Amino acid sequence: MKSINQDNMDEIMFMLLEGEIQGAERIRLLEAIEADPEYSKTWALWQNTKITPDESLVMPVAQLKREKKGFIVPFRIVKYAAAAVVVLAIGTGIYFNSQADIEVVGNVKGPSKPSPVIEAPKPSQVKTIPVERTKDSGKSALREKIRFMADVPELPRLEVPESPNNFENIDSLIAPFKQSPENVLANYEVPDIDSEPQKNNNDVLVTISNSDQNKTTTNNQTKRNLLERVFGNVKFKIENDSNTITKRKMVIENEKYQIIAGF
Amino acid sequence: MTEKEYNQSVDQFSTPLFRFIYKSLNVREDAENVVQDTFESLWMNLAKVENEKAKSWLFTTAYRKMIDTIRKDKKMVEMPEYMNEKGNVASQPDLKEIVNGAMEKLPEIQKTVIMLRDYEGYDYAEIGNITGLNESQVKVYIFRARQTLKNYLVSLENII
Repeated sequence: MKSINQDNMDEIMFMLLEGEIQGAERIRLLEAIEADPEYSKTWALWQNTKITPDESLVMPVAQLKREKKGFIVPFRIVKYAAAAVVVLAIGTGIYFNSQADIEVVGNVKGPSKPSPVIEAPKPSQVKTIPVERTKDSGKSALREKIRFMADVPELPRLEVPESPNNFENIDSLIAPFKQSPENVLANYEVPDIDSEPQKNNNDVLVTISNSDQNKTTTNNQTKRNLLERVFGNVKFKIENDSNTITKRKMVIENEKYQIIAGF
Repeated sequence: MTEKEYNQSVDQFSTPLFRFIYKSLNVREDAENVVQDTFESLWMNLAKVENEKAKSWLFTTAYRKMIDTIRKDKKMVEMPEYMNEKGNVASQPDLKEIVNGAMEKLPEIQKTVIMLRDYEGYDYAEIGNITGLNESQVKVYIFRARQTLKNYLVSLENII
């Protein structure tokens, strides 16, 4: 059992203040302190060392509160992303459209040299090259090109004199055209391009046919008159021209085009 | 610890934490930053901190951040004596304000332990966990702090 004196006064009072002495001993010590004015005064000072929080100090809690949320993309990012997607979509569309329009069919080297003359093969040498039919081959550029080439009718073949200097036969050559050019061209029969390869025509080098023959359709329009089909309402005439060797030129013209051939 | 428990901790401990830190730093903005950083850390470690230990965790973390702030800034601005919260000189300072003024003269560790003891009611072991001291050291620091305050009051009494 502890008793208070001048030497242990601070220690006892600290323990009382901290609550380390409880029960009957605490009551007895407090009564002893109260009985002595000096102890009472010192005990009052010890009690004043207990500090109390300043109630005016308050932490704003609103900025500390949290809430789990999904990932929020700021609107400005969405805005730019949407704009980028639109630009990319438009750009891609333009690119592929432009690529679809361009079809490389060969290299143009200019009129430096005349093309070599290739002898046409005999009809027996005519070959059929099958085209593999795929899922979308019906719309392929190759097939369209083949169809286009097949649609081109053969032009009437003019017999050219063997010697370029022999111009005496020109008049007899063009005599039918000179007399009635419309009749000459109008009476020309366009061959049926959907029929078998024209074996009697030496100008047919190669015929490309589709392996699926059943799908082949007959285009009656290909039987149109050559004059109407190629030139429309055409006029044919022979005119004098001092700049040509024969002093003549042949003019074929319609509403849009004019073809002038001088010899 | 759940999100709800975190927000409850904010309601329950943010102001005591702020008062504790503010008494040491004496700069409101710095104290708010420390408290905010502390709760930010708690949010980041939500899965690791148990709700029952949240208060102790908060005070420990805040204390360490406060020490870092003190070391970084080295700008312990002493509060003028008899200065209240708003910075106005009180015409007739009461005993509480005198003690608060005297608190500023205490060494940092004594001030910390006595605030944890009186403000939050922590026992010596809990204060030891927060400050990294053992119980005996905590008790000694608290005793010295109270003795300093008592002697300050005695000297003031003598002057008056």
